[in-house]
Amino acid sequence: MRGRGRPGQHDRWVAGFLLLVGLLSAFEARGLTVGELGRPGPGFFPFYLAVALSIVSVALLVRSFHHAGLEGTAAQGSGEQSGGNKIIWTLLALFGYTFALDHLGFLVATFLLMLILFRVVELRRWPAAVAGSLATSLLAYGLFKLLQIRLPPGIWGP
Amino acid sequence: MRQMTLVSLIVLLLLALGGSWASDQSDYPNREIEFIIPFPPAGPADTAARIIQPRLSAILGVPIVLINKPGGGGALGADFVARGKPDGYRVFATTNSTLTIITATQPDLPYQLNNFASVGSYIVDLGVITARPGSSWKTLEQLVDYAKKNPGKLTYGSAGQGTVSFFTMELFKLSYGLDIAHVPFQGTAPAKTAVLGGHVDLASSGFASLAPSIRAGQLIPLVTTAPKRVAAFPNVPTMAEKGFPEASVNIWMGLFVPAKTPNETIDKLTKALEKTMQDAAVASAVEKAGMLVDYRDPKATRKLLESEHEAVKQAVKKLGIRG
Amino acid sequence: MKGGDKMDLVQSVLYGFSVSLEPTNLAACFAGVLIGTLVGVLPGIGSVVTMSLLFPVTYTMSATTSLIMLAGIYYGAMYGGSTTSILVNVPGEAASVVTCLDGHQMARRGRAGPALGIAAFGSFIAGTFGVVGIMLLAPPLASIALRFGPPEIFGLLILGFTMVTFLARGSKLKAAAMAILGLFLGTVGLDPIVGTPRFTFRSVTLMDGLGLVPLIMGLFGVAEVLLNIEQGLQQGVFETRIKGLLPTRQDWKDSAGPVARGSLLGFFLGILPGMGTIIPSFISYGVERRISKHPEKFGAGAIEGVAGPESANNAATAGSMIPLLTLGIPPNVVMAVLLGAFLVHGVQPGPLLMKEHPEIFWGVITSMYVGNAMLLVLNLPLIGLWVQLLKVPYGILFPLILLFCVIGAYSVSGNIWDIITMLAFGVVGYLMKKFQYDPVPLLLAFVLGRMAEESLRQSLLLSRGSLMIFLWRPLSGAFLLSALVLILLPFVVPRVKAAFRMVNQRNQP
Repeated sequence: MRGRGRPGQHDRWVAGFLLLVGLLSAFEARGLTVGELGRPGPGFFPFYLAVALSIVSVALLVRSFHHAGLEGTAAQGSGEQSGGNKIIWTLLALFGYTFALDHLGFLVATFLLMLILFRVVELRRWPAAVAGSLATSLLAYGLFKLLQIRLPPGIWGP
Repeated sequence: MRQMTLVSLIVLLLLALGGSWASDQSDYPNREIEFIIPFPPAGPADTAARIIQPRLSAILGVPIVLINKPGGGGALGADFVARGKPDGYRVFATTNSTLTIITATQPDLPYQLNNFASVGSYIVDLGVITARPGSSWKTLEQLVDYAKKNPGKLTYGSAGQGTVSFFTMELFKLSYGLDIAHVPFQGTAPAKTAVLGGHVDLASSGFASLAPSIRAGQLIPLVTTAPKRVAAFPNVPTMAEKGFPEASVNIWMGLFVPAKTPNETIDKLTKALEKTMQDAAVASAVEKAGMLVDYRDPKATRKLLESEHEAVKQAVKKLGIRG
Repeated sequence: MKGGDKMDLVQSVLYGFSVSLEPTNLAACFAGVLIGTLVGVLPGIGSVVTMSLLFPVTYTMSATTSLIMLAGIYYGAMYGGSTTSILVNVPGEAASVVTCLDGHQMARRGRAGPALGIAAFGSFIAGTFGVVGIMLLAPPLASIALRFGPPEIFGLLILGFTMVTFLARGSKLKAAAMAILGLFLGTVGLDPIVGTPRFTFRSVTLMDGLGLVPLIMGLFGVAEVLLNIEQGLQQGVFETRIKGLLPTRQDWKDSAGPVARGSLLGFFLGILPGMGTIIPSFISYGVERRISKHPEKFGAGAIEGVAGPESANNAATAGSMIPLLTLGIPPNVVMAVLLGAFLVHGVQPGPLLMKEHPEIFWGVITSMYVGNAMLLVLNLPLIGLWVQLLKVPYGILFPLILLFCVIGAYSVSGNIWDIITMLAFGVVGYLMKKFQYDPVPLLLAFVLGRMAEESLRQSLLLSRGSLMIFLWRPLSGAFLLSALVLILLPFVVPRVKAAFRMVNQRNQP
């Protein structure tokens, strides 16, 4: 989403990030017992993985400087402004829903989530969105109950 | 976008309202209860829980979901329960080892014995050490002889670090002064597969898991850790009669909940468990699986836990067993 | 096999059908496959949870009837799982994740019908093959499964792993990085052998490790929805014209090989402990792409990429019955629930089951055949209905997809942090697509990670620290050698070809 920049630049950032992850993990794994071949400890597998990850990310980093532009024509159609906004709204709604589930219970929380999501993308008229949300949350509830799938309890019952 | 803001404000308001809601335990249980089994399917803990599940669930009036959470010799599942909400909806269906043995052999466990309250213990599975036939030994004496002549050549598979099968084999090794390498698996079933396939030479577990293969001639029983000879296998000697009574650890199954669980909740579970164990169909299923019904109330279970934990700690200190 | 044995087999099978065709058992079988299909279609909601919840219901039935119903849920879910993958690019079951890759691309090109059709037919053929396989080969195959100790498992995992990583789309180096990252994510949580917390940063949720379902639903489900939302709906929508509801003759020709190979592969891998259904479908996909004459079509709607994996995961369900029925060892959690059904009825599955309880053994196996036929009849007419679903505007469809993903992630363990994990991986998956990192190697590595680590450490304990154990043992040696060949092939082949060309040019005057 960030600027279009030169294609190689994305790769450089990602490779740098992976290298950081690799090095930090290697450090962290040293803190666990690495052990030896005959008596491998809990740190054994992660440590060598972290080392491998660091090596591969260095290779990626080096390549991103050499091959800049050859590979990775950045993402397809870097979203326009509204696309980015929609994603942010959707994610916010989902995170909110997650926490609301435990408090409000399935029916109320789901109704609200559906209402927001229906309106995020297709800006449908309110009555249609409300009716749709009500219908979907009730139908989904019935279906999940039928299959005995666990749903969080909330203040207003289910 | 203004309408969006409105909607999110309503959501926030409702969230704040919801925060004041508190749980009520008087109608326990009103939804399904999870049983966390710290081993993969088919070991003693798993078998025992699966046998009592339908009856117990009928008595409690809610479904019981069995969840296998193997790893770390059972520590993973134990820790998962210890950290859970003390509301009685997450029950630890375990063998004794996760509470009495591993807590003494693994120094850096994330949980302790005190994190749990007992619901009760219900089934015993007597231990046996087995070998694959076709090996150059058929009896205990021949095995000991071979192991003495070839130190470091034999291997044994256990149900995991700090399990009864591990502790049994370590005590066995110390009793006879043998050098047998330990290969931990995640539970009885994988360890049994490994000994059947000849990847390890020996394996120990309860009779319930190994008896079908013993009867089919795929495994030979060398010695049992039962206090006296087992009726179904009268030819198998006991560790006690070989002169090592302290090397007799057996597997028993119990139900536990997080320590802070309200007493009335535990009480409901205990009563249901007691009733389940009195059921004739359950008793016959237990027997057919090769185990014994042995119900103990929370107090007796606690006592057993503590005395066994103490004994294991002493043994570990005296003998220098470590994970 | 002697003549007498053959006679016995025919009689046993007939006897089995007489059991499985009893009205009660027939009804149980139908109920099982119906529930299974439904559970399969719903993303995230797995067969294990459903089976354990319905388990007490089956308590009052006879052992045979309850086993028939529970098994039905299991293989029924495999049929349903592919539907969601194909239609909305969200895996309905973990094992159907591979079907997303080409199945959904087919749907986008107006070929949802053939994709769904070949998934159903492929599953049916593979299921049938599996059932016949159990009938004829159960005992000898069980002994083959026993030959897979830790070194063999490790060798096999490395081979499967290499296959998928090296066949990933785009840069091999990026694929390798993702694969290592996936293995690494698998180590989060308590150590599988000694129980030490690793990379948990004192978070209680991380102690438990990252869940497979949240990870899959995030990387493949949520990420897909986010991309579609961003790209505006015009692009997310499908070609409006739907071309045909059933596979064409050409489709059949293309799929015959993949279905046959997928069935074989899935069946044999299914027997091995811990393999489950997801690894066989991945490996089948890898194999099909490797031997295909036009590998570039994979990922762009190749029917082979649906036919192979879908057959493999169904055959694997049949294969995984073998260790349970003949050794009493359940190779995965689903089989454990079945084991439970045996135990509450006082039956011990194992080497003596076939002799002591023939009605269960043959009844359940033949019921799987009956159930597969029912599923085919059930699913083919549904294709028309499913395809209509594609006409629903995405603005209405996507909130529902997200809702099912969230509840699916929650239903596994009732922990809202699983939903958070899923959403986080949704964002990661979205970014990976943007930066052209393929999520497939990461996911496969994550699935294999724990097993790979465990078998590696167990092998080293067995050999007391000698790495040679992997080469000494013939099976693991063969697997590792094949992996090495796979790695070297892309480097060697072009050079050999170039050398040949040089020689040819020189020879030409």
